[in-house]
Amino acid sequence: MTHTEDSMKADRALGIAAILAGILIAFASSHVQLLPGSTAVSARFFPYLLAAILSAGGLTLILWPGAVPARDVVTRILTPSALMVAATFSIYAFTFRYMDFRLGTWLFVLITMWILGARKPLELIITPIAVALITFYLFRYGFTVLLPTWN
Amino acid sequence: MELIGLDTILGAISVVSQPSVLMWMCIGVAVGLIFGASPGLTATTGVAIAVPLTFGVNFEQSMALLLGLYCAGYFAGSLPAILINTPGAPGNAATALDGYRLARSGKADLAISLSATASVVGGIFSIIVLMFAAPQLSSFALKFTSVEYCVLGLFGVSCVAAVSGGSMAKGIIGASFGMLLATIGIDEVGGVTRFTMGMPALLGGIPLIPALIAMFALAELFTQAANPRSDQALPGQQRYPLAGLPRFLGKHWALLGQSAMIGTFIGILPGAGPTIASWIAYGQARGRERAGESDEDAQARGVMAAESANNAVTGGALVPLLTLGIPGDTVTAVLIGALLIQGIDPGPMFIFEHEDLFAQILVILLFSSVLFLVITLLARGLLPRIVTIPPRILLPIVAVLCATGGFAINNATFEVGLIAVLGMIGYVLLRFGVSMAPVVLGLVLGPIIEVNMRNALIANDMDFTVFFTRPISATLLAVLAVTLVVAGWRSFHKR
Repeated sequence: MTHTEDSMKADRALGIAAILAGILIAFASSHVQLLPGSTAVSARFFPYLLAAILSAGGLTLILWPGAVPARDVVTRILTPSALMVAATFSIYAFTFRYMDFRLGTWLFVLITMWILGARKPLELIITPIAVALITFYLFRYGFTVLLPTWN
Repeated sequence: MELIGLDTILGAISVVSQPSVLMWMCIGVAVGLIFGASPGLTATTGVAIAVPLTFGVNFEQSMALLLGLYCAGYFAGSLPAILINTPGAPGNAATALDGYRLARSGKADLAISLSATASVVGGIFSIIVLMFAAPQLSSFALKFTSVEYCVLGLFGVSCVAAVSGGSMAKGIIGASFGMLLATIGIDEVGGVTRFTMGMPALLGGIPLIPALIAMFALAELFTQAANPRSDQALPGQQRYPLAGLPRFLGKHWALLGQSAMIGTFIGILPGAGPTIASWIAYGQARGRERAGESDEDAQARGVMAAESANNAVTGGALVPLLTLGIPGDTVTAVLIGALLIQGIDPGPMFIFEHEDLFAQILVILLFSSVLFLVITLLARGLLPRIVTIPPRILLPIVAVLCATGGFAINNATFEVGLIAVLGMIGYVLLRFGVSMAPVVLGLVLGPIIEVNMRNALIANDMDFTVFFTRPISATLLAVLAVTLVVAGWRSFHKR
């Protein structure tokens, strides 16, 4: 048996995750409040049905998986530049309300450009400032969207 | 059949051709293109903002501004969908699938040209329907109850086969996940809360536009960030000669007609809207593989079908508005306000009492469609340059637009955080080979199916046979069954 045949298949991992998610959703659905006089098609009915379909899809993947090993997919998910961009965006998103939009956007664009390999000083100076200011003024005065500011 | 006299049409053309009306139309189309192309801002937002501006102008100027904005706004969402995989509005999500693929293979120009042309074809088709068959069609649409809406939703879900990216099981998982996301919040039928995890912001459910931004744009952005340098090997953008467009249109005239019909018909149904129309048209176009067909041709079919149906909704949605006073979609709901400002009460007597105004509406819709086509075809050489911006610059800009667009929907930061979370889930799913299209399809169609199925059953004493005994529902189910059997048979024989 080769290494590829021996290792866990990505589809099987996804299938197991889908079945676990289905069980979790079914459990959570059983705690959805039922109003007096609810019929068989209550607020729980559709989530139960979807949990079953999700699990059935997962089972199909477990039984008939593709050839890609799970290790390959996990390695691709954990690519450092993607993770760093995702983490930077998350910080930008979750601090959106607290930061001045111009400052937060300038910082986010600068860091993301650096992660993605930008090294030319002029590019790193001009682009973040331009993006932050153009977006701010376009949305603030063009679309009258009140973006968060410190003043 | 209601026919408008030729002299009435000529009179309307004369009124609409006045410089002041054309100027308002140009403003409307320009604003519509900007709003439609900006993620998070939709034609509805644009029309809602523009309605108060119409207090000081007459009927034709008011309609020129608003209908110009309406038509252009519906189409313009396809531009970011094609160029940066970020649909400007939910109705353009299906366009992103093949449009973005074309752009990534250096054919953004072709995708934009086809999208604009198909939109105009769809729009004009719906105008013709509005002109000749509005009263009859609106009476037919009124026969639709929860039973038919539920079956229509199921019809839409059958598109999963076309958008699941090769693995049906993964498509089903994606669609189920999308539908489950749609169950979050207050249950529309029972009024109880589901899966909100104690977060008041989730009581209203997962908003569609942030979910679209996250699933399409952000998930793709994280994927590209994993290997940003590889994108520098993208082929240069090719200029597609306009003379080649008739070849595509001629080759796919039946598809364009079919999609326009789907869009117009769904537009007539109150509350259905362009999203379901474009997905169903896309599913019909791409559900069947054609032997020997090139990728370019197949993707072109996808773009044309989705956009033709999307813009055909504009005329379709005006049918119930102008014949019954019932809005067909969100924009026409806002348009009622604009008509009332002009002292006009849209309803069953509108066409009979104001034939001249009805003709002006038709002419304005037609002129607006031609105007945005001309503007887009003139700008098509410039727009694909966006795709050639190096990823180290383009990706951060797209990310900022995602966050700002998410914020702009409700002026709230909750949506921005939601985009981040859903974007990361989407990224992981994409890496596991789950296409984002079924997830979005589930998110859109889940509530339509659930709410209407439950309402239908409650109204019919839990009698499941009601789906098979009502003529329209039974016909739709039969068509659905035949489609699935044929697809299954073809798939079996392909093996």
